[in-house]
Amino acid sequence: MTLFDESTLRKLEQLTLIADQVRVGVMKGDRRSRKRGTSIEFADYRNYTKGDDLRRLDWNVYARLERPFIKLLEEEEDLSVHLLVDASTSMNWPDDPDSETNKYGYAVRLAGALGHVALSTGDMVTVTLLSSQGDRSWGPFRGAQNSLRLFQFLESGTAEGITDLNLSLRNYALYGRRPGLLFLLSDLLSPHGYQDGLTALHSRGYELGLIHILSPDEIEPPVSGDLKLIDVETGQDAELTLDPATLDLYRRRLQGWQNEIAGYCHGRHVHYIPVTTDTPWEKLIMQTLRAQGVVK
Amino acid sequence: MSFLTPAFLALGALAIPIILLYMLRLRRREVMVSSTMLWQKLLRDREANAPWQKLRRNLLLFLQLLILAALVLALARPYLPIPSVINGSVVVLLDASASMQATDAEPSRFEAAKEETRRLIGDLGGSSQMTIIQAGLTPTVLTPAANDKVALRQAVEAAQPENGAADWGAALALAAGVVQGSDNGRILLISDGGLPDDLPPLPVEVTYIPIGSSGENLAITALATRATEQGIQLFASVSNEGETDQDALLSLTLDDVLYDSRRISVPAGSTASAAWELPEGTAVIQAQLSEQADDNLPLDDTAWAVHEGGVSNRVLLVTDGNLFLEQAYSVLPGIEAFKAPPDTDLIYNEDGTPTFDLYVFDSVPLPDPPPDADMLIINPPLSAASSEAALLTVTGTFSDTVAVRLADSPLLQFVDWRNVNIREAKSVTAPWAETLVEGEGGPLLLAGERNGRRLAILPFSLNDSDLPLQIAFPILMANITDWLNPGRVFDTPTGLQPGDPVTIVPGASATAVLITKPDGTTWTADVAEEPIFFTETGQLGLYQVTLRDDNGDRAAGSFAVNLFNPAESRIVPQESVQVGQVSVDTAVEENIGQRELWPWLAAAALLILLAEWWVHFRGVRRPNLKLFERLNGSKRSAN
Repeated sequence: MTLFDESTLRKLEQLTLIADQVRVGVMKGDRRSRKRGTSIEFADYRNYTKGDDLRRLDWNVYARLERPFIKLLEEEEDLSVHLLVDASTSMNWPDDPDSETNKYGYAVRLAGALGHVALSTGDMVTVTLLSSQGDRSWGPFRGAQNSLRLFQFLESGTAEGITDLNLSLRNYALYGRRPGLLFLLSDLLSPHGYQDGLTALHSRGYELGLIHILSPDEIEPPVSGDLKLIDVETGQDAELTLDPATLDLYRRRLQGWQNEIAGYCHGRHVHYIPVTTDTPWEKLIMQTLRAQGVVK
Repeated sequence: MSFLTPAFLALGALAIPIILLYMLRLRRREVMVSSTMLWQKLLRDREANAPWQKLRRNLLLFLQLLILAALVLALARPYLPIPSVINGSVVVLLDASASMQATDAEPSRFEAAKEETRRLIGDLGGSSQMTIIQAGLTPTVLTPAANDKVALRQAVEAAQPENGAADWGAALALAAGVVQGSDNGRILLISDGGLPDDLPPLPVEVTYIPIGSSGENLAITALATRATEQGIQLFASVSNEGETDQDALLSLTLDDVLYDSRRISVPAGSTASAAWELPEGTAVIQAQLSEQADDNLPLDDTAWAVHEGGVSNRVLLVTDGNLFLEQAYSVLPGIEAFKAPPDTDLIYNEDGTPTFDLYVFDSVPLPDPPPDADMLIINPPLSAASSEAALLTVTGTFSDTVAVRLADSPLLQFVDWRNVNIREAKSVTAPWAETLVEGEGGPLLLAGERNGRRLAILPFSLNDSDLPLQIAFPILMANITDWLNPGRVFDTPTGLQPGDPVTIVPGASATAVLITKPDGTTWTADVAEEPIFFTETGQLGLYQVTLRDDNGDRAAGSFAVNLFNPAESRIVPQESVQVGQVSVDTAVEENIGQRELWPWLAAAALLILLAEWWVHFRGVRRPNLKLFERLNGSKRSAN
């Protein structure tokens, strides 16, 4: 058990993932469903109509008013939680996999935490590592007893190869099982973009959370001079002379890119959570995600 | 543009190693990044926004090549041929004659000449030397051979035009002396022409830089008075030196009161005259030209004249009758001669003072006592020693009268005594007198001062010699009379010109002479030894003479200095001047000077070096210290 220690797990177990729009459960779970159902939680009354189950007639009301009312009760169901981790080479940055700020490590830890939260609340969890070598999936599983296996699965993966986010997400939408709450953990540094994939997922009824992970040295490149920049994922190079003006331009460019993503997400009710890997992940879950209304 | 040392241009090959070094340097450091996606966008952006960004990456190389180019060019010493005549040892002759005050060049020809001189100073080559000589009444060296442009400019700044003609012979001789012995000597004449034709040839090259453009000038060329029987007659002539006929108003001011204005027309190239009858007693006359259409020289538009007729000396001839003497005195100017017999009582006034300014005693005994006045004593009679011991003693006669010695005296100026024959002369001794003509037997002419009075003695009868028949006689009489009684304290020829000296003879009683110049300043000289020469007549106008004696100051008249100089009034600029046998033409703008450009190139190289350093420093600055701090800080907090 290297991902989390015991106290962290305890803390995580007190959290619940929230999905506003998705209420499509197939199994009885802990969540209130939009469907009226068979739980013991009262929801509403409606007039009796022919053929209604007399077991659900409120006899007390009938005795008092002499009119038959059917008691509507809350349906409680489970949530399907999908955790998609971008496992491209660009996520394995900074180069040292043991680095605190390694994006992949950070994403895995975050996925583990969210998965643990979901499992603890009885939700159905599916975790997928998106990679060009073929997406590796875990689940769907439910029940807190599966947390350890989830962690083992996450630890076994490595980030390598090229990920075409659009392709992977579209496939996921196409072949996906129960739509539900979906978290995409990626740096979005995908040459072919991500929008089509997100749109495909959205149209399938997924409620999306996009956790955009960037490392600090991507925000403030600690390099300067005449350089040949080489992409670790694609091998492409860019010859640049980094002077303060260029760096400034880069920073503005990056900000503009993030704003563009935020605008895209806002228009589609996607939770956009930009994060740098020097932010402690506990803080991200306990504060940032809470503030976004993703967990409570 | 040409180069003095073009071989250094070969150093331009140093560009090759620079470029090679740069290419080596430009092997870029390879740095792995998570993704070049953003960088690629950045590249596309920048190249789209500024096409020269690619160039900018090579800015340092470009600047370094520029520095190299500037330095190599500086070493090759490029120069621009400049229109200049300045090289070697140069003498600038700055014409300061009156015509240079003409205003056809703004503000005046002299200022234009100064400007031209300043330009020449600016063109002065590094190893050249310049001497500036002002050609005025007397040539003045403004700066001896110098290369100091500041000193040269200051000297030019201080130069002032003069009111007279320039002494070109002396100026050119001075200039020739300066360039003598230098290999590359050269004389530059900055003038409006008007040089005399008889200048000596010069051993060096002479260049003439003409000044002035217009020759239009109306000048008063004569203003003179003459005493006639009707009164004072004034004569004025106005000449037009230009090329157009002109009208002008000629105004006369007599003793500061406007007397008459007359409109005169002067055809081009000719002279118009006017005459006036002036009232008696007129002393100072000023003539002024005005309302002329085109006049470039104001200097000669005003003239002054002083009428001297007011003072005449009364002379009493005490004689039995001497035709020669009477004739001589009747024609002497400024003399009013009276004749009296020996027993006259006209010698004294009632109070005992002399009635005449000068007494001439011809072969008559001297009155007793002799008058307290200047006297000429001719052929004094033999007399008892007792009565005349105080003045002179006549002891006898002698006949060997061949002159053996003539003293150097103003009395004998222009007097030819060689052919004078004297039959018999008196032996006269006078202790106060100096013998001017020494005969074999005794003095033939004596003169001296006694009790503040001047006395002269001719110890022979005019009838006993052929002196009155000689040309020497009127000259001698005039000299003697002038000396005995100068009348005016100064004698000025009519048409006194700037620079002409004026001789002041203040008389025995005066202790000092004061002369007030036209600009109001006063010149003072103590009377020590006669005569006094006043030479500061550089200004045009009226000079007031005042004598100072024990009784105070006493006005002694005035004299006028005028520019009655046709050569100076003729201000037409000359295209060429004649020096020696050579006609010197206008200097063609010759491209023989060179202005070296290397200091500018070196300065440019320095500036580019500074820029290169700045660009370089700016390019490699590491701006991310904050980030490292943040990274370290976050690590700590994460742990």
